[in-house]
Amino acid sequence: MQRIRSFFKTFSDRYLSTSGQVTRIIFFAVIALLLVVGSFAGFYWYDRFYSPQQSVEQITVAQAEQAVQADPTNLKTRLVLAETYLVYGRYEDALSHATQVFTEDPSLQGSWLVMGVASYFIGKPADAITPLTNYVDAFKDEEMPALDKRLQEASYYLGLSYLDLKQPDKAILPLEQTVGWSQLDADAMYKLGLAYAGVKRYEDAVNMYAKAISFVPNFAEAYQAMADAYDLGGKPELGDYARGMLAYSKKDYPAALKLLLKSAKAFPDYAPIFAGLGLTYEAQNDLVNAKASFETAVTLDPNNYTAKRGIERVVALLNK
Amino acid sequence: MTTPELDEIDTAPTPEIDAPQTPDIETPPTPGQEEEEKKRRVLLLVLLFLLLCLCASGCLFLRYILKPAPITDIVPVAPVQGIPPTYVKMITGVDGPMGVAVSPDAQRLYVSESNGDRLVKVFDRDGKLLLSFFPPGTTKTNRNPTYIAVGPDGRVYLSEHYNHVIDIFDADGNFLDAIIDRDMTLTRFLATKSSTILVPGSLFYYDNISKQVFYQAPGGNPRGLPGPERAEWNPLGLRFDTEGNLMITNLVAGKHEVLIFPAASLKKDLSKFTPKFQEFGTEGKENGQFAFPNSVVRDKKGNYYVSDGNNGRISAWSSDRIYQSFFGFGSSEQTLNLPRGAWMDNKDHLHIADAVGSAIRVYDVSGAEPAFLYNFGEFGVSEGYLNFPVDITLDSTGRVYIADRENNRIDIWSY
Repeated sequence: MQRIRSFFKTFSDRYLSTSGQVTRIIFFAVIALLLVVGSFAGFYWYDRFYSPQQSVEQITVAQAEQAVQADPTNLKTRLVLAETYLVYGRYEDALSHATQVFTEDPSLQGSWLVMGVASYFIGKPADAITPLTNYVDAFKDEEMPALDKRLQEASYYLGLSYLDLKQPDKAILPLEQTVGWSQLDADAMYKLGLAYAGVKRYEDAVNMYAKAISFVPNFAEAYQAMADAYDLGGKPELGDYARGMLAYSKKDYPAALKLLLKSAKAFPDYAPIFAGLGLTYEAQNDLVNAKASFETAVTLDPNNYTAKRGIERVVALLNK
Repeated sequence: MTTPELDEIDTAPTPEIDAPQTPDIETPPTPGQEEEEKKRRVLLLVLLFLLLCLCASGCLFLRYILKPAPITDIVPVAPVQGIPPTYVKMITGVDGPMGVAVSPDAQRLYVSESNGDRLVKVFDRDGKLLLSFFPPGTTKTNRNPTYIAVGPDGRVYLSEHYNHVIDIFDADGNFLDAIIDRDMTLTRFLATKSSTILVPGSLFYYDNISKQVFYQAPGGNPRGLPGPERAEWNPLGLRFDTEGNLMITNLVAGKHEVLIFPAASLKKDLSKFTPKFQEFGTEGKENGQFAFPNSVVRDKKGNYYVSDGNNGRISAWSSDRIYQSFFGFGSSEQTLNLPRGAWMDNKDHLHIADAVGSAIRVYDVSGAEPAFLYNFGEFGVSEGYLNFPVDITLDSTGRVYIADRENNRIDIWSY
């Protein structure tokens, strides 16, 4: 004990007797603390979150690039590389390689698809029209177009290219084909609605938006477009319904309720309004009103799926 | 050589001088000294604080190296709520992973496949494939591994849905036994129905097509015995609680239920398997009923939580198996679409793999009422995204393993 005390006294006299000495020791202590904390933080991050693994994208692109390097004259491997670039959003590279393939062998139809889609994403929809039209024409009469995702992709981007070129009349056919082949594609339905609205076929547009919304109930853009179509089509009260659902999709429930109630007053026989009211009440945990609204919707339209599912949920929660 | 001058000085007598006597009173410190002393004391306090911090961080570092865990688990402060884990990496090379489990030392990962060769694959912590195995007497066409769990003793339990058995393996995949009915193991069945003594290396298994138990001594011919009547046995989900009790979901028509096998019945000789199991639940949509329950987990208070698959909810039961309530049901982002695998962490945070919602939903069940905490993961095929996640497990270091079925991989996240 005496020794320890003596040690501390000596240490204190030698290193801690003046504020200058203490400041120096503090400096070293701060350095040591930073080193320990920094090492711990680094080790913690490395141990828990660091992964030397390459991403799927890196591995896939590297494999496709190696295949082309191994045999630069093989157009099929080059086309695979172009498709890989397209999948991972490297549109310029995709277009460059697909164009090379097309120049060497225009009969390789995959290059048409890559050129068209890449051109669309680069912002050159005019360049996308010819290759995509050729691709769609080549495959649209095959036995089962509904199973051909590439055909659907070509047709969809052909429609979008026409929409970007402000030619909604020409966009309608490819988008109708897409919706016909891929009957669950809510995006294609929405775009087809825009094309219809572009040629003032507002009723068709509203139907298409409604179809898209039935698959994606929170499809904010579709609600907005529907509201616009109702307004332009001379039915602003139903526009309130669409705006109410837009507010619902944005979780602004008080605004949604206000607009939907107004719309319900104007159209007391329109089931979707009451289904929307039910959803809004449910979101606000007003289960009694939600149940009543869903039931009204089902009375008006016994096939309203949203309302039927809503009743099941609300009843279960009420019986909890 | 000497220096005469120095010699003279050394030898010269020192004159006696009467030094003035110092008075025995301390001289008061000057204001400058006082200020200096005050400053020194403050700096000493700062130094003391820094040294304490240094010690604490050093101890923390050492503690982490010895037993890795999330910092929120190590630092003794109030638990931080609502921080979801971070995506780390994935393990590929699994075909339709259905179940995922971790060894007690967190060094081995067991994955059951529902497609391809339908194997159980074992990976190390870095994702390197160590070995694979499958239930004896099966081929890829007549086995269907589903959920998997590792007991406190390191034994691996595999729910095999084609033959309706729970296969038991050692940590290296050597087959030990199988639970072939609510109160029957293969070894017990053979011990009671046959005079044959199972020698090491014997092959034995239950075959659901012929409803027979087969056994074959090394070098001998296979023999079959009519298996037990199994009207009430169709196991699916498997989990162990912290006491080592095995909790399974049993999907007999009209009787979707939870069975709890006490730890003691699994520790002793399985050829004497006569468990005093507990059961609760029936099939249906009402409160206290199940529709394809997948996983059962327990909180610290001993309450049970069942992922009630086709009812789209979590069913909560008290520790004495009385139905309490349900939660996670509805149409918002905080609710479940198709809850499958479940895991309870050491903070009573319930993690649910929502297969159709393609997300992991986390609820805090430590309070009086279950509270939604956060989701992590969302639908997609790129890294860090989920596509029909069906099972989840956490290890002691805070790593989260997700069986991402349709992406054919195990996703690793970390708290």
